[in-house]
Amino acid sequence: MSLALIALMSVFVISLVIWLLILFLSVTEGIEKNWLGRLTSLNAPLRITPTEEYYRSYYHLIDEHSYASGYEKKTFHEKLTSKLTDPYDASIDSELPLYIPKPVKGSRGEVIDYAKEVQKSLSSIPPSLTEIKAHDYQLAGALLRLTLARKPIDQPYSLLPSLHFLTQAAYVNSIPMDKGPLHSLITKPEASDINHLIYLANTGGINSSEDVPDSMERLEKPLAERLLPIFNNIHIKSYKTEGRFSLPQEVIEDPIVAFARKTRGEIFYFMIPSSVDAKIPEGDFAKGVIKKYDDHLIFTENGSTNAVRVDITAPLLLAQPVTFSGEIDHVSLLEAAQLTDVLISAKIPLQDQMFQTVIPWKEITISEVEIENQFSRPPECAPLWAYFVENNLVLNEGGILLPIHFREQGCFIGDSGFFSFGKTSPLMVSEQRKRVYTSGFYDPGVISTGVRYILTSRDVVSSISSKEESLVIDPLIANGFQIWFDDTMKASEVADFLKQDFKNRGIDQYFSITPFYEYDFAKDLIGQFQSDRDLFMLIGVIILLVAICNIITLLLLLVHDKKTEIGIFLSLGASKLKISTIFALAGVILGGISVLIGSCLAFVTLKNIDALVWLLNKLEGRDAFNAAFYGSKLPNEFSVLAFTFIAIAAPLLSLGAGLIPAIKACMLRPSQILRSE
Amino acid sequence: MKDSANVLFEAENICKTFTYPETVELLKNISLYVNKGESVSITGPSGSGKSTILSILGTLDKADSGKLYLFGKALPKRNFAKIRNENIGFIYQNHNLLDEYTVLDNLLIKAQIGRKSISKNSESYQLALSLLEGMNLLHRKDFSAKLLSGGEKARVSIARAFMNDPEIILADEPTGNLDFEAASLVQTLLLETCKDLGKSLIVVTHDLDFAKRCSRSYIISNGHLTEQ
Repeated sequence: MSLALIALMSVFVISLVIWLLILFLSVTEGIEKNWLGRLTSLNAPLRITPTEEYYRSYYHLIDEHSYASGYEKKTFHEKLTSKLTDPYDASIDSELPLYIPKPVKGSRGEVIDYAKEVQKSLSSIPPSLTEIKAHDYQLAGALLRLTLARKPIDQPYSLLPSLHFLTQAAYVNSIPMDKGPLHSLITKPEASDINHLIYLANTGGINSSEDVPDSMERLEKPLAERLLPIFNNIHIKSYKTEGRFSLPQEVIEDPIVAFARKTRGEIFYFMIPSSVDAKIPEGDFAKGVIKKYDDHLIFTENGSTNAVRVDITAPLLLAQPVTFSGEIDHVSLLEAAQLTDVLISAKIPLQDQMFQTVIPWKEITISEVEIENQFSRPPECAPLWAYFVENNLVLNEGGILLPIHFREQGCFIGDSGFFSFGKTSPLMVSEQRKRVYTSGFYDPGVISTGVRYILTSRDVVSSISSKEESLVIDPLIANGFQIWFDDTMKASEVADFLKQDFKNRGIDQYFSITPFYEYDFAKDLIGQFQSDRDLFMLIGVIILLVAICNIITLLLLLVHDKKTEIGIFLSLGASKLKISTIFALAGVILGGISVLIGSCLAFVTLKNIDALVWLLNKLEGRDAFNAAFYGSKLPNEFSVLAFTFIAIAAPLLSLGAGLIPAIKACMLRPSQILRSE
Repeated sequence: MKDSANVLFEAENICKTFTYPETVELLKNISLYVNKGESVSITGPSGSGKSTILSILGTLDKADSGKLYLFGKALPKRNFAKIRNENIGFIYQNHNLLDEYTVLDNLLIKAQIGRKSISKNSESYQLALSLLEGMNLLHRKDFSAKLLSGGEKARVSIARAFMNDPEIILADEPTGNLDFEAASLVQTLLLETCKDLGKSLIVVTHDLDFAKRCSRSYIISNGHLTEQ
């Protein structure tokens, strides 16, 4: 009986350890996968960049000396779209300087077009290896300066915003507009963005910046035109009142509970509580009931029989913010000269009553909203945020996508500013500016440089990088090709294929092919992932070993308990091998059962990880898992790798544990046992 | 009398010394033999090494030197399990039954260890039934061994020793725990069953009457075995 109890305890402890191990390994593997996914979404699992040899080549240098190229160097994008591989025309262009090498020619005497050869090589990757998506990217360096125009807290009615500035030295990266993994990083606009856009449209806060893109410069336009790109692309589910929201007096048909603010016996305004049993706020307030008559209000204080007549214009402020539903009156929106002209047919829940009334848009924010950013065809009134038409990304002119960290710094969609770049001479800095505004945010993952990558259209990057010396960006990475594919683990195979193909095409010395695990900024992170995993595996094995010591104890007790039986079996002709096999097998069976129970528990837990997170949050009284590190949701995919590791390691260790009592059983001397009994 | 052609089991120059807790030379060049169908007793004072010699003969213990012969052939130096299962039957003073098993299962387990069939129609099953019948225990076959009386346990132990049709039965004080009447019955059953089935018997006992009932007797004293 006691042995059975110990066996049960052993199985319980090992199952618990296995449950924990699989759970932790699955979650950490999921987190690693997420991070790696975000890393390779932003930077692609494979990158092809030109070498110094490329920059010294005729193919690259010749554009600066050719009329056909406008005497300007070309990016890969321009090279790919150019019809001329060799733009030099000796009859028009001046004689080439001596440092320009001779062009490299193919077997038929034509100048080899490196960019197009890369493109051909990429198309030759067999689908059996992987399906790829390639994008020729451009990277530029610039200083981003954003103006954050906000409603002044101390002057709520002021149309003049308070201004803050945010400056960041940034990498400006071109984002492919057709469907790509980068799109998955773009986050949806939030209600706070919409409220901010409405504020900007109403106050012209955006114009307080000296540089605002044309697409945002709308104060000259009627308010309706400024609001329609917002309201046409959202569906408001609920609104919330702000501090000075006043309930229209005409809604009072039945008496409602109110706190009257009295000064020298005279009532100036009322505070309307959400519930009838609300406590009196601090200050000179009297609790009572108000009732509306034709042209005035009557206030009767609790415990008093005297009713006080109050002017109908006395404001009815809400004591607490209230969330309510409503419909915007479209006609009022089209005719609005200012935001307060926009009317809402509202249903306001107060004191267990539903007040239906039409209220102006004043001291109201959007609480919950559905924001359209996926369209099947171009929208009639384009939204101000980044959106998709079918699978293609659309950024308005000057639109940029900021890393999500900017949101934490208080940025909203609509915040505008400029990229500053230019040429530095010994005498002065010639600064140029490109006006931009925040179209959206994306999640760059955890790479240290992620916070500095700003995504935008190729035009914006080109306008910065065409200036010779902007912020210093290594030319070896400023322009190149990014190659995406689903299974990032195939990066090495794809790189090998391309290296061989480049060699066959004679362009291998002009390009370097870098898989993600060799990126400078990712090496440390990936190494850290590996170390963490190894360390946790080691800790796991140690914990498992400790747990498995239970099996050793149990089976040693069993050997001791059953030594007479062992002696009898030996005397009846059982071999020592058979006897020891029984104990070794017992260890394996106990380990196997534990693996089964632990794995099933882990599977169920992972499927219900949200409940576990909720419980931990409750216990800790705060978010137990930081979203920046773990992602918005803990990964819950069952790790096959972890299970395989456990399913092999646990029974093997159990077998090892079973061998110790097995040896002990072998060493028993049946002659002594049977005689002494 | 030693009849070389008829010798079933023979021990030659067996030596055994125990070193813990102190060095004791227990068996000094002991030799003995048992003919086919013969019963041999070994008597001697307590601690003289009677049980030790029986364990060595039964391959449960190892001699420091000396040889064992079965049918004139030297036993191998290892893999004694098969020999024990097929050729030797043990009977102990405390019976050493598997208490959790039934009487019948206590017999069948020996066949099972030898990978023999124990289905109801099998030879082993029928042998077990006939042995139990011979011991007048057929009515107890489904009883748990722990519920039996001492005499009954002794008889089950004898029946089990004859399972797998062994050549020789080694009995270590088989009646040591029994009263006179039960002991007499068990002795008779053992000797008669050996005689009936033509099995050889080596019995270690303090009971001189029992020793006298055997064909030959040895006495062990001071590490030496002498035939009487």
